[in-house]
Amino acid sequence: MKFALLFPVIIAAGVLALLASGYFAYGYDWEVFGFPLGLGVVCVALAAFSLRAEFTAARAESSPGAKKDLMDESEGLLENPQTWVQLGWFILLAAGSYLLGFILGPALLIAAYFQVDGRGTLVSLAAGALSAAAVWVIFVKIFQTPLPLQPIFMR
Amino acid sequence: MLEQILQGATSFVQPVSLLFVGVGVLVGTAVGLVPGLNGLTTLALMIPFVYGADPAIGLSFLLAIHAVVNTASAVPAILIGIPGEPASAATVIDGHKLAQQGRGGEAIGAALAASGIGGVFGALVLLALLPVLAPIVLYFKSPDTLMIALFGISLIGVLAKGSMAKGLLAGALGMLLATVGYQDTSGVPRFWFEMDFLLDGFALVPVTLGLFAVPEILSMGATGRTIADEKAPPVNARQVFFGAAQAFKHWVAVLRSSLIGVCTGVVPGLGGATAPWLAYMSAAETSREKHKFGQGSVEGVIAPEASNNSKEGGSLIPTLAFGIPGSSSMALLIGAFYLFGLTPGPEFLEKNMPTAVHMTITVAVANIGAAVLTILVGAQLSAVTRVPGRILAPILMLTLLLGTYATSNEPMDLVVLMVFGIMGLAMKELNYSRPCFLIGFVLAPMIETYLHISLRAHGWSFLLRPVSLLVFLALAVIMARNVSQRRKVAFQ
Repeated sequence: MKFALLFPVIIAAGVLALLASGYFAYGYDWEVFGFPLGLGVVCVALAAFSLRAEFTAARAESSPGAKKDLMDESEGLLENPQTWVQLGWFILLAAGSYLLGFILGPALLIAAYFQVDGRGTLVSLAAGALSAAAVWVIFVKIFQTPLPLQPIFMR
Repeated sequence: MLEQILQGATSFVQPVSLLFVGVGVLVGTAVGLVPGLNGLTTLALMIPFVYGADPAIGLSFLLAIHAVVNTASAVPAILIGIPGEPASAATVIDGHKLAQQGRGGEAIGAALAASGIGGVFGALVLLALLPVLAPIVLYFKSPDTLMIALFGISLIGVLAKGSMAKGLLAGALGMLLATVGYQDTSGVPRFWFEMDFLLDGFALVPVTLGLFAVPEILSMGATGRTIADEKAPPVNARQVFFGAAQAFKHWVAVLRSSLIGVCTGVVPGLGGATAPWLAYMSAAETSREKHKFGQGSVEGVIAPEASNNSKEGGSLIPTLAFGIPGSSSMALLIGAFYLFGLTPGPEFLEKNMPTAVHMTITVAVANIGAAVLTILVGAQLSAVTRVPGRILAPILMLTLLLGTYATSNEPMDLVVLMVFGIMGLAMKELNYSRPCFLIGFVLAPMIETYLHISLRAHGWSFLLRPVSLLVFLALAVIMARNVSQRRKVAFQ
């Protein structure tokens, strides 16, 4: 529930900060600022409305006999620590691939992912090597995508 | 005219021409199947390969690639919830739900058959209109484009299931974030915080992939489960063919969506990502099984896919008739025209009608070829929905990163992907509509630009133009219907 309350607050705060930067820091004239200002005001108003609705829903939920929203598609991922672990891996893979190059980075990190996930060393090494080979064949050789292949200090 | 059509057809059936179109279909299908690999980039990479070829063959090769990327990109959208192209994002809504229910094969079959029919429909419309193109395209002015874009925005009301406030907030937020970067009419950069990559605004590819793909991948990795329900029967060729038959069963929806695609493609600047959403809305409004939309509706897959492919025929209309690119891919194609010493426009049609016919037939044949090819391997591709999440997640993470980076070679796009990925995760979990966000994001620049131009050129009287008036009335009817339906549901 805390995420449900936090999200509209973060949106409203972010939008207000964006608008404040436009008005105070950049000093845009109305022709440039009018459109985002109008949208920003709508966003803040709707965020306030959503926040109020979440509070009401929180109260109703705590009452006996409350029903689950049929349109609800949430899987409880925000409360699941594994989601944040996966996000960490994703960020690590992005940073590692850029810093170590798109061959060595994925090879090492995919192997590490499988190893940490409890698969055998041989399987993990094979997965890492296959990933690097797939990147090389599909993206570099076939589609000739200009990826940074060397580690950043060698570029 | 008939003689020129025959000349174009004869030139198309030459073995070399068929070989190039065949290779184009294979390349386009492969690109479409890999999420993040962009059709536009592939088109750019392939242009040097046709240098020195016969213009009709070279242009058809490029067109074949471009025409079929959208066909194949439905497959990752359905099976893993990752839109291969931003235009396939609408297919994710119902297509991925069907895959989760173990009906991935049916969804793929329906999507591919609808794509094939839509592509052929677009090509036929183009062929029929080739002689009378000029007055049609010239009729559309800025106010009309603005009204069509506003019509697209009204989708937010239809797509915002559950809480209307959350849907509207998502849409408004998408629109607001689209204002980052240069304003089209004044050239003033907005909210760029001295970061050069923000001058052009947030790129559509990392935003789309972040919103739709990252939450799915994180979910797969976190839960470790397979995409399809483990109890559901395995996908077989029969399911795929059954799905393909569904497209013919819902032929009215297919034809209507194809028409929407062609009309959207004709209007330069309206953008390829708009057509599927308009078609989806139209299907959701007119279907007998409205309640299934968003929960796994075959019609919800057919409509965006048919329009997605038919719009290519539409976008060729302004490209060939005036040299005005109907989309960014068409802008690249115009570059290829110059490479062959040709200038698209009225003179091109007058002097090179057989080449134009050759290209039109290519669109039709390439679409059928790609649909048949992918339908044949659809059941095998569906096996991916049975792979455990912990194996699939790292592979998809890597594909996503590569696809995002390869689109623009901009490392900051990876950061954009992450930020919008986290936002997409929160939106998915807290029931803020991601499609609403994306529609706002795609249409906001268009609305702002054409509103400025319309007001400067016509004042408020632009609302009285026939097309504007018609769209305005349709908009009012849809909104009134939507509000009354919501009241009825709330009352029940």
